[in-house]
Amino acid sequence: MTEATNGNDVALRIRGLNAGFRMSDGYLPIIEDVSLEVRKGEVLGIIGESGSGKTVTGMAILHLLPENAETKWETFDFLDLDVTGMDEEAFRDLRGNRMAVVFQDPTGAFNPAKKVGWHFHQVFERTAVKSPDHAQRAKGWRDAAIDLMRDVGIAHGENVLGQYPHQLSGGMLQRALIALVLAFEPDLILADEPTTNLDNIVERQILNLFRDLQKRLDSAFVFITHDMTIAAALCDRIAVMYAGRIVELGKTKEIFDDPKHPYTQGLLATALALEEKSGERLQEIPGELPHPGNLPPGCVFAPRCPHVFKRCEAERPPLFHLPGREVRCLLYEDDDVAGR
Amino acid sequence: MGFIWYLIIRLGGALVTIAIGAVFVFILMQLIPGDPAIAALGENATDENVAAFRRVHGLDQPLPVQFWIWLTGIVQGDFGTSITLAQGYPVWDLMVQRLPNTLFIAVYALLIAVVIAFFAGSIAALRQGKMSDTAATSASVLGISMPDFWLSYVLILVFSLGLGVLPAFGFTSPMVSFSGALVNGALPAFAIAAPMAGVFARILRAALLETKRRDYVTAARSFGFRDTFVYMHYIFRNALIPFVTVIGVQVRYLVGGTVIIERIFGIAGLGSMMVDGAFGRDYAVVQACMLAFLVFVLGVNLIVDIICAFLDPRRTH
Ligand SMILES: Nc1ncnc2c1ncn2[C@@H]1O[C@H](COP(=O)(O)OP(=O)(O)O)[C@@H](O)[C@H]1O
Ligand SMILES: [Mg+2]
Repeated sequence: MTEATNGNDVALRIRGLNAGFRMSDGYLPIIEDVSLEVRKGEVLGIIGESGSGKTVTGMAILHLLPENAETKWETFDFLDLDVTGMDEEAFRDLRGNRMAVVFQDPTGAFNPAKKVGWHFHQVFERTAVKSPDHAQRAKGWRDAAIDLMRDVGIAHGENVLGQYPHQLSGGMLQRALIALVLAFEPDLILADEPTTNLDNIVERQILNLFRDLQKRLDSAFVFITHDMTIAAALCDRIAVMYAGRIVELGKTKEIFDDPKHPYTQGLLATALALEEKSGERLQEIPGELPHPGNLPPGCVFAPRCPHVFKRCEAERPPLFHLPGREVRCLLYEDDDVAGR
Repeated sequence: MGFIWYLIIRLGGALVTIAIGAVFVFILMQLIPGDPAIAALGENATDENVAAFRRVHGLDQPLPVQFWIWLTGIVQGDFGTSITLAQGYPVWDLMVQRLPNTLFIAVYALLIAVVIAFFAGSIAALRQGKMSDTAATSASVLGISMPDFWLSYVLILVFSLGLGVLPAFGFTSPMVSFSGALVNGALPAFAIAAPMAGVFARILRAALLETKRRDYVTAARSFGFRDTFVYMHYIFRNALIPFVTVIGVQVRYLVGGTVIIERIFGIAGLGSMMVDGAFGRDYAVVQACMLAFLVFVLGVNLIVDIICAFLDPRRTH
């Protein structure tokens, strides 16, 4: 599935995304030069520790960043549309029906003043513009909603429709939110750490649901997580983020077999140590994520890097293109095949 | 189910508050120095006359007995008799004349405040940081910082003495002419409303801005809902809950407002009657007015709570 590279298969292609926030004390750049591509039926994982810019990247793609945000792209292709300079009203029309989000906190995603059924009603109404069939389905939205909920493992959907969000558990709400997203039949589904706020058992169930969906649907998935094990289980390809930059991108299996970037190597070592639960102290990467307002002048990972050398502290490394892999690390300068 | 219980509990709570309030009101009046007999008969009254006055009006009885007589009277709908203000008149009759005026002014002021706040607060929040926000926010601060009695005189100066469009003094009872009451009550109602409108507008603005940042608003936008839809059904709808709650809290200031404003504009209402009664040491009158205000505040609070319960399913479900 990941082999096909003909242009028509690409659901989302982004080149040179930069994003940041206007703060009271000036502009705070967060995301720099992010490029990624997701094909139909493919799951692209974005992985990185908390604060690395995964959510900002995701929200930038959907034009959902707060008002003080600024975003810039070189290229933003979505399906057969060039949305680089699209006006906001036209872009709003893509949201929901063409691209939808499963959020990290399902409790926060619902209108607390309205019943779950109201959400389904509104979403089905929103899908009515897609086709006459959809319009027909919107009229019988109750049955359609109950069917969808059954698909995502909610047995008594008719009861859930009559309940307020605060009356339901996080796991139940996350299923309901996934059902809402599925009602759109979107071409792109962004899931931003959809299980982080759930307990372990529910997390497992929701992950199984995602795996099932991704087999069943033809949509492109972007799956954001900080958990290597989840990424390994779900994603076809992985983009590793660090301090607002993609530092490594490639096929999941290849990255796990042979991580190139020192940060990826560190992440994998930590994940392995976690799995074996061997030592009392985890083998974590020493140091911490730099604050976006106070980035080191060279490679952003240099202060924590075990392989750091002189140039790393002075130069921002570009993305080097290796066969089937992109790495942002000077160690691989000589392996670059694109000749940047 | 849940809601009926909620209502019963709230009503019970209000009754208990009124009962406790009655005790307080009674004790408070006794603590105020001064003698109703002197107030009624004058400084030069003879001791016999004073003693006779006290006997006639039951003031020679022990306090608990006086309290008991008063309380049992109220339960039966008898608020006692005025002893100095309108000698011999049942307090209830005085109240019935004046209550509509006060209620009218209070509700009029509340509506003006809510309407002004609705527009000022919404505009300020929708256009945060822009000129109209600054204008609306400054107007709110101005409204809050103007004392109501001062504003009353300014309004009288401008609209009555200056432009001559609205009367400065005298008031038509809404029972006599509703439109007359609307015109004549405009200045006093606005004087009471201005500071409240300022507070309400700021609360609404803050609530709207706070709600706008909520995750569910981002989620709503991720569904591709239109901006106006998101504003009405998500942002405004949820900001309404703290807004209405604050209205309930602010209602108590309405009472203080009417007491002062009724004096200034010469409105025959409960507030001015209470002040006159206090000067005349007319215990029954003052106690009845205070109780009426207490019931009014509790009543509005109850209504506000019921509205909130409807607005916020988390409270009742
Ligand atoms: N609205 C905002 N204003 C300012 N800074 C923000 C805002 N949202 C996120 N950030 C900053 O952007 C960086 C990346 O955040 P985020 O994308 O949420 O990280 P992740 O999702 O990977 O945990 C963090 O340093 C965060 O503080
Ligand atoms: Mg995040």
